[in-house]
Order: sequence, then structure tokens, then C-alpha cells
Amino acid sequence: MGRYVLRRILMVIVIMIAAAFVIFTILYFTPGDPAKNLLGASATAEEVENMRHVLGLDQPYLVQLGNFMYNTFLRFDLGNSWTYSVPVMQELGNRLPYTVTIGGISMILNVIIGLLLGIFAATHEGKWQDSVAMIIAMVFISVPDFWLGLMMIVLFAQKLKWLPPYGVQYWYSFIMPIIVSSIAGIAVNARQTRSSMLEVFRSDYITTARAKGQKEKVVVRKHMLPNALMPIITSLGTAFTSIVAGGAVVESVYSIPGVGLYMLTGITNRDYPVVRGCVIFFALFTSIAMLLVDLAYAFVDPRIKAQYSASAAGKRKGA
Amino acid sequence: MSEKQNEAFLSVKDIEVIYTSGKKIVHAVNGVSFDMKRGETLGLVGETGAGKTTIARAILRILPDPPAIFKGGRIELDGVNLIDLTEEEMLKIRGDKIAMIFQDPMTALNPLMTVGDQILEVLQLHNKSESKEELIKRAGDMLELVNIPRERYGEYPHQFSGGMKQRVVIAMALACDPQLLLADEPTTALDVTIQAQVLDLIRELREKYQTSMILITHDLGVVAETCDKVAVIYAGEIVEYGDKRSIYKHTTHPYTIGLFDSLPDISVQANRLKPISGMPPDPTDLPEGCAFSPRCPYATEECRAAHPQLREIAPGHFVRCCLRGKEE
Repeated sequence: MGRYVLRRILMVIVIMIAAAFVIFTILYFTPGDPAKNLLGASATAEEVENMRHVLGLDQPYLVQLGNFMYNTFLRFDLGNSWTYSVPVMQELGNRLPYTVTIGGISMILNVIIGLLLGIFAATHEGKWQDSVAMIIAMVFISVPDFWLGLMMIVLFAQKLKWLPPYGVQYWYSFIMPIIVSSIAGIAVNARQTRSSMLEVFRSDYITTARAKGQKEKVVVRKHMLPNALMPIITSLGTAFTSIVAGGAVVESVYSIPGVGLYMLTGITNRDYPVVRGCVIFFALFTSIAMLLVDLAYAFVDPRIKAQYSASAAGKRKGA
Repeated sequence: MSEKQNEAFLSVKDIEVIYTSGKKIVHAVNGVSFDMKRGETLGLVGETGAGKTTIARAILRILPDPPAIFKGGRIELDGVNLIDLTEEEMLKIRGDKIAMIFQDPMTALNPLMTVGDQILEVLQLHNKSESKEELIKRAGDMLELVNIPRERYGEYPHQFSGGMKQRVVIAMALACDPQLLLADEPTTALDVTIQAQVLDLIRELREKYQTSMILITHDLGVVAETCDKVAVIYAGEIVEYGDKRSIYKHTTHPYTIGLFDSLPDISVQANRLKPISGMPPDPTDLPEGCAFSPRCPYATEECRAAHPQLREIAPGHFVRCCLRGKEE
């Protein structure tokens, strides 16, 4: 088991290097001159050339790539933002709490509401409660988040004046962003939970549990849910990454100084260090989320745990 | 004591179960009745889809709810009609007074729980006053009873072979000393040598605890070895019912005769088996007369017109046939 985790962590490092390489190369070949962008249309050719030299853009591709990789992975330095001259690492650290707070709370809501809604629908399969739950889920999935965000501002901030329309000043400023970013995930999770619950619903071991005289509620909680959990965990992992990485929309609708918004401004300003930093951050975040998903599998299912240990043992024998 | 032994311990009367699938209605069990004395073993024999498992699940009241509907009948255990009990009261009976062994040991155990905990679960449900440590010890005892070392308490079903899993299922079923054991094809999914072991084990434990048993099977050899009484089920009905001797020696119903004929007989040089021709009737559309008449070699107009009743042709030997057994 420990070996498995170690192997997975090594893989995360490889993924990070690959992600850094890809984003650097894509930005390098993207048309448009960041130096011109920074200086504005009135800059002379000489000024632009100077700026290119300062930013290191006049060096060949391989040298630039080498410097970037060296700074990123050996000195853990993502460089300074070209537009604001603030270290990207520091800025990410300042913005991270907002993104993680919204993402984390949305995720908790996703798990609680999504699971309950899915279990409720599955245990009432074919009845009207099931239809209502699934119609709600369908609506949640279909609503675009930017539209929902704007409509909520119109209703709760402008008309009712219950909540601030943007910003992070008060704790209740976060209510609308959290709702907007959690709603699609809740619906996906509810549908996933329903279908995997129904899959185990007619399993023989469920009949066994009933034949023992176990209460239906306990059968659902103790026997059905753990067995239905595998596909749910998979979709939760994806949901978490898409909430965090997709936070850019919500952050820009509500003007929240999070990582997503930082990346958006980086892209519009051609601020390469910012874009690269954010992409690396999202890649790291996704890798860790996926690692946690895999570990959660082993935690839930003893067969997978045995497999992990067995594959580690097999590797040992092979080596 | 002797009087108590003679009165029916389990009495099933005219139970009827249907399944709804879309607009179609599947008549799974159509008026099955039988009595059992304490300590007796009844074999329910029949083809796949004849309604054997449905009868067992109806007794335990664990029919899958949306499609299955219990239409009517009485199931009396020690004079108590189980159908009248509330769900709450029924929970106390399931696993305690009546236990069930399932057909497929590969899927009957929860893959995410240790085998010991699965036995512990049923013990905890029906022995609320005892401490957990005591019950864990008893779950270990149950494992040893079915010849599995106590040390394997903490292992998961995937670490067990099929035969061992079935033994765990048996340990689970016997954990609370049930008065009635419903064994639903307990050996079908196992290979022949393991079958014999499992049957021996069931018989041994049953004799030890004086448990009554309903054994569901399509294996007439298993019935001959294990049962006191036999009920042959066809299309959700009992077509022949009696003690083992009358069924095996005085086989009367054409369907039962067909079942025996289809067994391979190694004492005679035979190249082909003699199957019963045709297929079981569509349970959504049962024939008007005798359900077996389309496949029966002796069928007459009378058979196709009128639904035969169960008749007693010898003391304790019942047959549902218009023609056979009349001369007696």
C-alpha cells in the first residue's frame, strides 16, 4: 500500500513536469508580443526590443524553457507577474483561500445534497418522488452558471437587497458564488448516486441483509451505499477539479480575487508567468484530487486495496 | 410434546404471488399450499422459473417490492399468520426464527464487509442484550462450526473460495438457531464434490438443532438424499405432493414421471437423455386447463378444458391431474 502511494506521488511529479512543458510551449508559440502589449501602442521599436530583453523573450526557445523549468521545479519560483511585478507564487498564496473556500464548501454541499437526493430518488424508484428529484437534477445541470450567477444578482442583490452583488467583504458575500458553483455538481452527483444505488439495489447481498431482519434504512446505509460508492467517488473527484478549475466563471461574475480570475486576467494581459503559474497550480490540484480518489477506492473496497498491495509486491518481485 | 410434534409447524395456504412487468402480469405462484411438521424437510422441486424461489421469499416476506405483489393466502408459523404481522414484527422473525440460504454464494455476501462481521450482524440484530465481545466470540464459533478457522474472521469474501463462501452463508443462516431454514438451491453454484460437503454439513447441523427445512432444488438426487417430503412445482402450482417414498416409488403425475425419465441412468446403456418435450408455459399467459397439458403425452380434451384440482390418491399423496391415479 505504501509503495503504491509512493509510486503515485512519483507519477504526480512526472505529470507536473509534462504540464509545465506543455503550457510553456503553447504560450511560446502563441502569436502576439507580450512586450508590445505591456508598453502599449505608442512604444518605439527600440523600447519593445529592450522590454523583450528584460523579459528574456529574445533568448532561444530551449534556453527559455530550461530557465523556466529550473526556476519552477528546483527553486519553486514561478517568476514575477509582468503586469504587476508581484511574485506569482505570493499572489497565488493570497488568492488560494478564496478559491479553496468556495470550492471546498461547494464540494461539501455537493456530497451532502447530491448523495441524499440520489439515495432518495433511488429508494423511491419509479414513484413521483423519483421523477421530481430527477427533474430538479435535470434543471440544475442545464442551467449555465454565468447566467444563473447574473440572475441571482438581479434577484437577491438588486431586487431584494439581501446579499451584496459582488466582492468578498462579508461572509455572506460567499453565499451566491457557492450556490452557483455547486449546483451543477449536485445534479451530476445525484444522478450518479441514483444510478449506482439502483445497480446494487437488486444485488443478492442486499436480499441477504434483508433476510437477516435488518431494517431497510440500515440496509441502505450499511450495505447499499458503500457498494454504490465507487462510481460516486470517481465522479466526485472530477467534480471537485471542475469546481476549482471552473471557478474562473463564478469568480469573474462575482469579482472574487481567486485563482481563476487571476488566470483570466493573465490571459488577457499576455502575462505568461501568471498563466503558467495558474496552469501548474490547477494541474497539481487535479493530480492530488485524483490521487485522493484512488486512495479512497482502496479505503472503501478491500478488493482494490488487495490489488494495490499485490501489484506493488509483483513489481518488487520483477525488480 | 408428541402432540406438538404432530401439529403443523409451518402451514402455507393458497398463497398467490404475481409480478407486474409493464402491463403484463406474471403469475409466479398460483395457490400453493403445504404443511410441515417440526424437524421435517420438504423438497420443492421444479424447473427454473416454476416459482420455487418466489415461494421461499414470500414466506420470509422479502419479495422485491415494486414488481412482486402478494395477492393472497396464509403463511402460519406456529399458528401465527406471518402475513398479518407488521414489518417491525417481521424484522424480528427474519434471520431469527426463519433464515435463508441463497443460491449463489458468489454474490450473497457483501463484498465490502468481513465475513465475521456479516455473521456478527445477524447475531447483533437478534441478541440485543448480549455484549459485542460475546457475540464476536459466537460469530467465531459459527465459523468453526462450518469448518472455517476462527482466525479468518477478519477476511473479506474475495479471499474465500465458492464452497467456503457458501459455508459462511450457512453459518450466517444458522447463527440464531432458526426453527425454519429456507435453502434456495444451496448447492447449484458449487461443483459436485463441494456440493456433497455442503449438503452433509447442512444435514448434520439440521439434525443437531432440529431445524425444519424447505430445500429448493431441481436436483432429484439431492432431494432423495435430504428430504422427508417432496412437492413438485410446475408453473407456480404444486402438481404432486407427498412423502419421499410415494413420490419416488409411486410417481404419478406425468410431469414428475418426465422429470425422473430425464435423469441419466448409468445402469442402462443409453445414448440420449429423455427430456420433457416443449417449454414451460408462459407465466403471463397460462393455459386454460391443466398447465402441463401442452407438453403432456397423455393429455386429452378434458385436460385442456378444465383446471385439475389436487386430489389425494393415497394417504398423504396428492396429485394434480385429471387422468392419473383415478383407478386407485
